Amino acid sequence: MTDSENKIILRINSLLIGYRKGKEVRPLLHPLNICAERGELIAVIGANGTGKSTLLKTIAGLLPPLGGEILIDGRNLKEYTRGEIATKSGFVSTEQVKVDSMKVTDLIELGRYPYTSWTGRLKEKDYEMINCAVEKTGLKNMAQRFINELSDGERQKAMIARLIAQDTDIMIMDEPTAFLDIRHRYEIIHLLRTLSAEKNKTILFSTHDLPVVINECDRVWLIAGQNVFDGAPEDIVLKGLLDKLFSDEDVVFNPYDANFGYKKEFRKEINIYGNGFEKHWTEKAFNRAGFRCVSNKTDNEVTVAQDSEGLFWIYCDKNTRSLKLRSVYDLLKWINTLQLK
Amino acid sequence: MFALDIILGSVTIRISDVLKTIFGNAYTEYSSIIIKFRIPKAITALLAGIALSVSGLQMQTIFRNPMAGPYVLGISAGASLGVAFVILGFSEYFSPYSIKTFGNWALAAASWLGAGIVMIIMMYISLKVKDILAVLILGIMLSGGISSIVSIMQYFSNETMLKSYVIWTMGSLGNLSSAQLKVMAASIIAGILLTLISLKMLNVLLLGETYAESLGLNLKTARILVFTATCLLTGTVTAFCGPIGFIGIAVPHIARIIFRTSDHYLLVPSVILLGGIIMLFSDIVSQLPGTGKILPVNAVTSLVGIPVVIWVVLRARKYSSAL
Repeated sequence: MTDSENKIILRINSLLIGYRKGKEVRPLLHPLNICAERGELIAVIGANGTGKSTLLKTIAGLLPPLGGEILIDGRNLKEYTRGEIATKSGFVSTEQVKVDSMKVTDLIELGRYPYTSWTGRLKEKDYEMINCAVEKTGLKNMAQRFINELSDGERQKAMIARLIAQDTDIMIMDEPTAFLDIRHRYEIIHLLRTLSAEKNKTILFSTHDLPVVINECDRVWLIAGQNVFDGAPEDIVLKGLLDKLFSDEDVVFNPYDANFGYKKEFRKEINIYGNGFEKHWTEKAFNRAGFRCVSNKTDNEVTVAQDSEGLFWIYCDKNTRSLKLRSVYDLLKWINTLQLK
Repeated sequence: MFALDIILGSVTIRISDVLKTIFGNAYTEYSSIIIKFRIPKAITALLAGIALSVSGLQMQTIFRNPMAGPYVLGISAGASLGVAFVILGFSEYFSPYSIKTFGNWALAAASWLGAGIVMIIMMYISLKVKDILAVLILGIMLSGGISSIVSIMQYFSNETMLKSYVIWTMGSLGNLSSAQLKVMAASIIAGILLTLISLKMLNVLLLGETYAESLGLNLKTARILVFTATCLLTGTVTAFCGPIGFIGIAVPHIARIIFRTSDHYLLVPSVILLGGIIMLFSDIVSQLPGTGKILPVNAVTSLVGIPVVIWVVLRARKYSSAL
């Protein structure tokens, strides 16, 4: 069965990416073999400078590969003309586009570029796609505004709307959520999720936003060292691959809260008594203060509980016992005065 | 405006006389002024205004720089270096007669070549230097460098050649023979046609080359088309009218302010219209109607264009990297 018959839209065979400097070839990664299916939302993660952008641009046909082949719909990318590539895969870069006097609709209309004749006239089908893009991105009441007047998040949505109007099977985006506040970040991820699910688009995007990757993506391509690891986000976590993300050994992945932290040295131990939520956050505070939280008996203990006035914390060890402290902040301050070793 | 330009001039002619000359066969004492001088001059102004404005618009798009224009980026200077080579360097090999027949095309071609070389240099610079104002300053430096080469050439050339060159640099719309006018019109029409073919490409180039390519633009074709068009337009005007400043940079901005669009299908026609009008207006003002004195047209276009440029610089600061 060939790729065009099954679900695989993108297949990469021993691809070498990187730059050529004169006669010298500088590949960024080991030869890459990977593929992507229709409708998959794939996150590309990796530290800065590992080649995320280069990989995405090479797949988008904007950089020549140093070796190997990229098959889209079973056909080598080299055999496509520029115009044909533009109907198969589209690209949103990290570059901020600011054009004087350009309206949001003008920008979105440019997405129809591969489909119009040299006169650039839009047909009914083009307007359909443009309206669909406007609707999906929720830009309806901003359609007539100038892109220079938009916020970063709104402009990013407009860029994605342009890509939706381009109507390609593969959508490639380089850090679409960079520089955005949390609300816009989630809106955009939700949008990508919807597009892959409803319109069966294969979306390939790079990001540093790990919680988003773990909660929303079907698949992760993790670049570490010169290798690319492929799998569901959970596979990546369970195999402990996220620790490899940074060569720096002091930054480690915490599999419980799905985020990275600076590796800490715990010199003291503490046992915290309490329930679920309150206990969890109290432990967090003590981790920060350099305590390892243990559940066996130790000298130092903290109890978190609730009375009629709200939460309180009590600290005790062999010699001392604190009063009811009403906040984590006060608790840590009080413990600092003990000069524990 | 075209009519006004014919009517108004340093010699006061009554409107009735103008109409008589054009529509009647009556010969008045002013007929030869109108037919041999005013009409060709008005046509020249129109063509020059259109050509400079359209090439300015294309440069602003392809460089993605609101400060781009044939004059400020040194393209006009490059063209004038080409002209200087022909007038100062080679005219001793031509008899005055041969200059008249063959010289016009040589002049134009040298000018295109000069414009093209500077255009390539500026494209290279703008790839390396992303800052809009830095590119502008480098353009002005390049202009200055070229001007000094030209003045060195002037120093070593003889008096008659020098005189014809100095007159040329004053920027004049009125000294064209009908043969020159034909060459100019043909080249500019060719340049405009090339622009019309590349309208769609110009629109997508607004997003920058990466996006343009991802949307299926063949970058090489687009560059060659736009490049040829701008060299033709700028080079031709510079060859026959001398360096005329600030029309190319200012008119596209005026068009954007009035029509509030970035779409080249609308911008190019409006720039053609406005460029023609503004150049004719500058020409009328430079004639100082009724006074019998004539200003260099370059002075007038600078006065029209510079306020627009200042306005754009101040606004570009606000948008940090806005086009």
